[in-house]
Amino acid sequence: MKYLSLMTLTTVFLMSMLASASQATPMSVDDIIAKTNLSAFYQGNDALAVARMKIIDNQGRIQLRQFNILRRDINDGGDQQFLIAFSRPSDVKGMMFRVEKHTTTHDDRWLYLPALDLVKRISASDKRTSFVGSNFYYEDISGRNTTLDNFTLLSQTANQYVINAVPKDASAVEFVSYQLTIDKLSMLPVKISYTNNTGAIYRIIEALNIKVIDGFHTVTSSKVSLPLTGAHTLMQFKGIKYNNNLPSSVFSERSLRIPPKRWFK
Amino acid sequence: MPCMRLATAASLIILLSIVLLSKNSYGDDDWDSWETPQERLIDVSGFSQIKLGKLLENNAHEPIKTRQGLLRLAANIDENFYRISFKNDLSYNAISKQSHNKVREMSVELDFANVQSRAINQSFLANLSLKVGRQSLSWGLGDYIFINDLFAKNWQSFFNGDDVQYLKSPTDALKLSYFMDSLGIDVVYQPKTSRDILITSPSVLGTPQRSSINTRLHFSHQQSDYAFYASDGWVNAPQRVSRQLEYLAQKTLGASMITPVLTGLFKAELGQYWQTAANGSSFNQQRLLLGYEWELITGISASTQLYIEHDSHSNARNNRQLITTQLSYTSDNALWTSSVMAFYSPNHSDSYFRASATHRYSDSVSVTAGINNLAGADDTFFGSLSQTNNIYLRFTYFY
Repeated sequence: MKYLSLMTLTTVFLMSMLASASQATPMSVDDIIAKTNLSAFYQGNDALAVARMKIIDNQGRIQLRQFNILRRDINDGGDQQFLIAFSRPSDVKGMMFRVEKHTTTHDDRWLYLPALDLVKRISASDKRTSFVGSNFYYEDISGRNTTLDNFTLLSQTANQYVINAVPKDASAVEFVSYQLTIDKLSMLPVKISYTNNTGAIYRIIEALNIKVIDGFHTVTSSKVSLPLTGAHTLMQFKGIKYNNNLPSSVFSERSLRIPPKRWFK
Repeated sequence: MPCMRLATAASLIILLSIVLLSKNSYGDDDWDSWETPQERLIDVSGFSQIKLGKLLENNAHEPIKTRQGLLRLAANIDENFYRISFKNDLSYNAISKQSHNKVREMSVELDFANVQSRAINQSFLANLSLKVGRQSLSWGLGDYIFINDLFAKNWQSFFNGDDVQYLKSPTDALKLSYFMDSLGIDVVYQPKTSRDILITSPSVLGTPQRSSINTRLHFSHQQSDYAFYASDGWVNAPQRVSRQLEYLAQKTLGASMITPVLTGLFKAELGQYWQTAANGSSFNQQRLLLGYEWELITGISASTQLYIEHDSHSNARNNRQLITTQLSYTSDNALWTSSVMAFYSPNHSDSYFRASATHRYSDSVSVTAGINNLAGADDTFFGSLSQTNNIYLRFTYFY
């Protein structure tokens, strides 16, 4: 009996050693990207927030956007639902935008124009187009599909990974490559620099502020800048709440025509 | 006329009172601190607009030029459970020196899904919403072609260079909506059917005094949206019956679907109309629309529509066919938008060309220029409106 106990103990000890060893194994670049994708775009089962953007064009002219955003994950790293309700400026106030994000096919998008009481489905297939006139792209907001690029770990420090990404289909995008700097603690990208076909860095996205909200590391302030033109956009979030049990029915035509205000407070 | 002036003066007093009693909801908060603004009872917004226009045809009955000022004031009281909306347009025509006041919306909307009560959230009431009062209503899939959207239109505004929102003539109605998972039912009841606002005001036998009811059942399955429609009411525009124009009683059934195909969206909509004249004569019509819309290149969308009518009674201008093509451009910073749309009827040989470009100078200021050009024989739909061919320029200040 004692012999058996000793064997059991030894086995447990060896198994725990093996487990420790596997934890110490450095993550592969694809694992880092997968984890970063989840941290940046899939925290919690759902999330709600108020967001605003300050858009400064290359002539220094300023535009503002403010909207409530609701997000619900259908599965982690997979399909998601978004609902965006614009509150400013005045000419887009009351406009609603709904997205069913798909990782294996084109997203579905609907726009509600309150002046006409019209729900219009939008056919835009290119995700690298401006999000409501800002320097952010739709893809920056909802996340770029990680299967579209090849990743290489360039270097790492105690705190950060530096990864290079090259698109598998270069003709589908305007960049030649981009470099991600990922914070090891939060597993969030803190800087993304895009290089064009002349070798110039023409687009930089930076996380300006990261807070821990409901136990999740969250970017609450970010900036996208176009160094070649001087244009840039600042984005801030507040009122962020995770795991609200948002029902799927919130992401429907009903919410486009009648905003689900109880989730906006 | 004194009544009209009194109504205009009363509206102005109400509008000014709202402005004075409420703070502008669009105040400049500090970017760095982003303090939460104080809750306001009434949320006020709107715009001022100047429109300059010129008719391209020399029409002795109409002024050649348009100079119009417009003041839009919108006020909302918005709570979780209810929303009270008021929208008013005060316009002044500098050519005819006449002012005109129009309440575009005055409605109360109740939505039980937004009540934070477990008892209500778990009851059938959570599936219910209703909106009563003057409101704009739209459904259906056509771009400026309407089969199952039988709500009143303002064709004057559409063809004379007003913002496209004015295509919808406000309707006094009760709208009841019930939702079950992905399926929704809308019922719209109009105690008195709204009429289209036409370019000319022909003498018509009678008016549609009776009420009308429009219903829609809609749902999504996988990536497609489907809807079925039924209505019992009146045709919004008068039809010619034995040399006389009259509003016909009408019953309709219809269906629509939109689904992703390749990189774009394919849509189809059809409708069956049964119309009855005062003398008892009846007419049938079938309408079919097929369309495809896709992103041509980044920032430029293209769409095309094929529309066919089939009438039970044949004459030279029935069984209308229509083809439309549209290109829409939005600049990367969304400061420039433009649209070019052409309508052409292969069997009636009339056409309509509509183009506009908008520059959004800032969040507050935008400028739009456009052209409307209609052509065809005098007895065709577009040809009969060719006297309205125009160019226009609109300056808008949003607040």
